[in-house]
Amino acid sequence: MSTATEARAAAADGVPFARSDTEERHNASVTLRHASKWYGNVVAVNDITFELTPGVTGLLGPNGAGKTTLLHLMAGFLKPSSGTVEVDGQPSWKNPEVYRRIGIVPEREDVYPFLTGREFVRMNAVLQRLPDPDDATERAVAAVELTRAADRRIGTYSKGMRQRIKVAGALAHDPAILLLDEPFNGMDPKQRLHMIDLLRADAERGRVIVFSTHILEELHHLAEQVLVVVSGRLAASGDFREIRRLMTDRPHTFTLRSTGDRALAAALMADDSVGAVELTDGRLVVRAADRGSFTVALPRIARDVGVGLRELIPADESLESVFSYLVER
Amino acid sequence: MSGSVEWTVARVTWRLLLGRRRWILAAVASLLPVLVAWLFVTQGGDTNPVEKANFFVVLMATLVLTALLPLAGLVHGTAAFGTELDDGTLRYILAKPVARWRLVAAKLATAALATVVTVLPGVVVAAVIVFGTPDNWLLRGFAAAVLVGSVLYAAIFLVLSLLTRRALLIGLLYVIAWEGALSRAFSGMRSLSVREYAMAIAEAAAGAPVGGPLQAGLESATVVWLAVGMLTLATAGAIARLRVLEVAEEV
Repeated sequence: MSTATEARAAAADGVPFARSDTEERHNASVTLRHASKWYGNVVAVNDITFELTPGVTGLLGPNGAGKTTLLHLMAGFLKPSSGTVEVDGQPSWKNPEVYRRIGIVPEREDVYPFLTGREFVRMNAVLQRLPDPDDATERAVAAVELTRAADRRIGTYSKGMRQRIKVAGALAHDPAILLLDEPFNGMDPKQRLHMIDLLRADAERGRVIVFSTHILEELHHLAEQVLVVVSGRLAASGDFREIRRLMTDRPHTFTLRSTGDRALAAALMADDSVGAVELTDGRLVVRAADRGSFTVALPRIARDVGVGLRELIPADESLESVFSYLVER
Repeated sequence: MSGSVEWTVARVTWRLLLGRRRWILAAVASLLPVLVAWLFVTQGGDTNPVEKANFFVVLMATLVLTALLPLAGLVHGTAAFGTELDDGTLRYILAKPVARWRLVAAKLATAALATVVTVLPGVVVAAVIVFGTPDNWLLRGFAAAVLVGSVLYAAIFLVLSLLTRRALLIGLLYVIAWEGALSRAFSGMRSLSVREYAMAIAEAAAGAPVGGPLQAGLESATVVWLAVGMLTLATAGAIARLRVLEVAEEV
């Protein structure tokens, strides 16, 4: 069976994408060695080293952390100020040939509004110089489930549909490496799940997938590997569960109100999960050793002392504070 | 299939340049010389062939070659890459295994064609109104001038848009200051003025001095070399620049 037939058969089976040269796929890699990017005095990416291999990697960080700059470096859109950025051992800067291996989904929503979805994907297929751009277009459009809307102008698409047509454009040449910048922005839960399924299935076939996000939970069902970027630096990297544990099992501050603050305060002080308790302005401020065990222990303690809980507010839960904790660690 | 990369880029560029209400701009630009020619004819200026020829030369040399042509070249030349640079969509074109000269060639050809389409119809219709026929030696001359000028302006403003984000402003200053005033005041600057090339080409293509108040100051053979040199320089510059163009995100 030829590659094209195989791919068509796979598409007909509802498999998003498949091709026979998985051997080639498994060699795919993106390598950054001491890569930095600065603009004048502003350092956007600061001495980052990592290697990406097949599977899904999440690039997590607050807005302005340098995630997009990092993706742009990998995509060859920016020249590293120092260090190297390589795709399959080839520098990505000033090397258009690497685009045979890379598919890119930029964050910005703008896609030629006057083109239909199909025209846009076909444009990508033709510029990739594929032998059969029409076939590639149909497969990519089907993979993101936009076949029915493919002849509508992109200007009429919803945010989620735009994201998907951008993904279809990036998938047209079935790249070994897919770079996505905030791909879930503007998607509803159903579209999000569909995108997650699509990327996960692709990753299982050996594609290197990197996506950026500022929302920890977006990594949940998707990323095996997580790179946490804060202020242009690599703050943490590793397995998703490990990163999540680091981010949730850290000292947390809660304010709470109850029917008997003093009794509750005394009982809380005696519990291992609590570091300190303060009573101010009719509220209890509790410093918990970690989030998990405190939130489990609190209802039990309240019940034991016969106190009703009225309000429980976690303090300093901004993403920035979570990230700065990781950096200080 | 080999030409389809350029063709695809050109078609998208064409829709960027003349779609989305921008064609109205082109239509207005086309109508201006037509309107002036119509006023001339209705004011009784259609009696004497010498007067007609003089009027047409002045109309072309001032309104068309000094204002409309450079402005149309500026608008289309800077937009050929500029529109996609501004909204970030150029990334879809750049992230492809396509030699950069192909992209520049496709964009340049499209911008030049859009400039011709913006300016030439008005010139032809104005000639028909003034002379009663498109078969006229002056029209042939100025049509050639518009064609050559379109390519040169498109190339100059295209490379400018890759060099600076303020291409439209700088281009406008160039049109007003350099082409409009300086190159006419100082003869040495003529050799670097597209408007002067266009005038010389008009004379050469018309087959006789076009006369009138604005005579070309350059030999047509010199002009060909200068024009080819300018086009080569601008195109090579655009290709070199595109190769190292950093596409940064907007913060």
